[in-house]
Amino acid sequence: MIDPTLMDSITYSSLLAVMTFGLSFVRRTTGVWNIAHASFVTTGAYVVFTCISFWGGSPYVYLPLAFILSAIIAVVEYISIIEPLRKRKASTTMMLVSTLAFDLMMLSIINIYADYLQNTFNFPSKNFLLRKLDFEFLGEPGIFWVSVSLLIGFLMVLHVILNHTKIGVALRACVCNPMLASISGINIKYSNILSWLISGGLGGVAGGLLPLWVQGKPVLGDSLLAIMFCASIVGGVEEIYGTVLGGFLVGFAQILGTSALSLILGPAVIPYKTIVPMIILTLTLLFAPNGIAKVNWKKILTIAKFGGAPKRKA
Amino acid sequence: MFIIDLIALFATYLILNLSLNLQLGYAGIPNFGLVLAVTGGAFTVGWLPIRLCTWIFNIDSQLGGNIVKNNAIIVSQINLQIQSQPLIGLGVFILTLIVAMGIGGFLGFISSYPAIRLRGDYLAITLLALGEVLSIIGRNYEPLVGGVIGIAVPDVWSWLGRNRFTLFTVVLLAAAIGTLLLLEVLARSPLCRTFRAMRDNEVAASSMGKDVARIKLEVLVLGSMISGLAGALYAFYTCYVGPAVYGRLEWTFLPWLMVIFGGWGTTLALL
Repeated sequence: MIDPTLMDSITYSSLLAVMTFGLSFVRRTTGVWNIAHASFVTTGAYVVFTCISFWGGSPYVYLPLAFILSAIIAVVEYISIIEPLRKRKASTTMMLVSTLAFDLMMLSIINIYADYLQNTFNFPSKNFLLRKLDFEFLGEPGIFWVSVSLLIGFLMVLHVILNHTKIGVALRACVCNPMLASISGINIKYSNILSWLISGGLGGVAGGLLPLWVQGKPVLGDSLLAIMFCASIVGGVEEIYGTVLGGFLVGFAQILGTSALSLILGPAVIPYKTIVPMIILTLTLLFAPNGIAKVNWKKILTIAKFGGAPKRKA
Repeated sequence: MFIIDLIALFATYLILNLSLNLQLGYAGIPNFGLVLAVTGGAFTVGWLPIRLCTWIFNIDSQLGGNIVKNNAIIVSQINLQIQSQPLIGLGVFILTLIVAMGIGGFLGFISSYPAIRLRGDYLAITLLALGEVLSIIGRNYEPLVGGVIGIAVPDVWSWLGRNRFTLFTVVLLAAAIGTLLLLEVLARSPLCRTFRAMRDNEVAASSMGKDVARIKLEVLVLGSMISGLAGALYAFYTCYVGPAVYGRLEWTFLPWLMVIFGGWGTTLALL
């Protein structure tokens, strides 16, 4: 039996890492901070909720559908908004604002859809929790096993794709240096579409899993947006796997850290756990502005051990 | 009444958009954390006037001991007192606005300090993330503004009787026009030329001896003071402050869309 707080931390961190990865990935490939990533997460949650409400069964069965639909929305966003703006050489801030507009549009659509489900079919679509439908394995809820397996499986698949396939190498090239990749004959547009597809799909899958752990609502993704950005910046956008590290650091600090603090300062600190990512973000920007993945730990350890950088012999 | 509400909302958003225009249009700082200073200004109105009036009017100490719990009774007693002593109401109003602007500026300083060396969208995202902090505190720390339920604010304009909303809307419009004129003067000053130089080319500006980080900090503090003013005026207008009212959507995203739609860097387009 795993400690419930530790289990919560691992589940939350895994889901956060999956969501954050998508966010950082498109930032690296297309230079866009996609605020609408929040709506991919919410879309995933509503795909699973709709399927469960109409056809029943296990929520996990509908995850591929959540992936597909969210991925399609992401690709639509890229093709209809980002690509034309990139062609017009819009600034990154302008593209950020355009993703904000898309997010607001999606938020409205999701709200209308939730109202429609509630008014027409009497489904509790404004507030739903699918925890009752979860399975148990070795005395622990299925969401714990699935979220961890999803993260590990995804990292393994990604590692294989990025290192051992042509398309993966092309993606990596686009991430590292889009201009050089373009000169080398790589089709940047298709690589970018692929990265948006992966990003949207991952957001959708994580969103589909979230109602098994927290309450689903039309602002589900938007309520996690600031935390996703924190995890992304803390991990370091420049490193592909750094965001996973950031997701875990932020997730663990938020749940396990707050729980530990409550033992010292009392339970009054627990409601403030959402502030923890912002504190970590502030500290990261002050002491490691490129994210923890870019920190030279060897140098820091040497300084800690010898009280200063080792001197070379004359 | 609908028209009056609409004008009041227009004036509030105009002040906020002017603040964003100063930061984005003139200085090129994409402040996606506008909501922080707005919330700061509004929370000042939720916290200060009720305590100030309770002390000035010597409201029953038993009631004053728990302002959040006895909020409705205290506010109604204060409103009755203000009806006969309008000067005190006006004094509390002006003092609160000054404090709200100070709090807004301070929050702008605190939130921008770690992020100030960042550029463009990176800075925007960091400010967006930090913009949430005060709302979370407000939701959970009840003595501040009554927690999730919120708190009623003394109506410092209650002495105007039935014309209260109409005349306060005029005050709001006057504040918006005042801010507009102030920023127009600023736009023609050498200081604003420095802002523009930084916006157009940070490297060139710093090579000319301008401390870019310091200028960014100054712009964000000034912009946050104006945002704090907008939040405070809106709270006084509605006579209510609750964390749920001051969300990212209404007080960051919508002003951004308005400024983008109107065209940043041009005051007339904002209108």
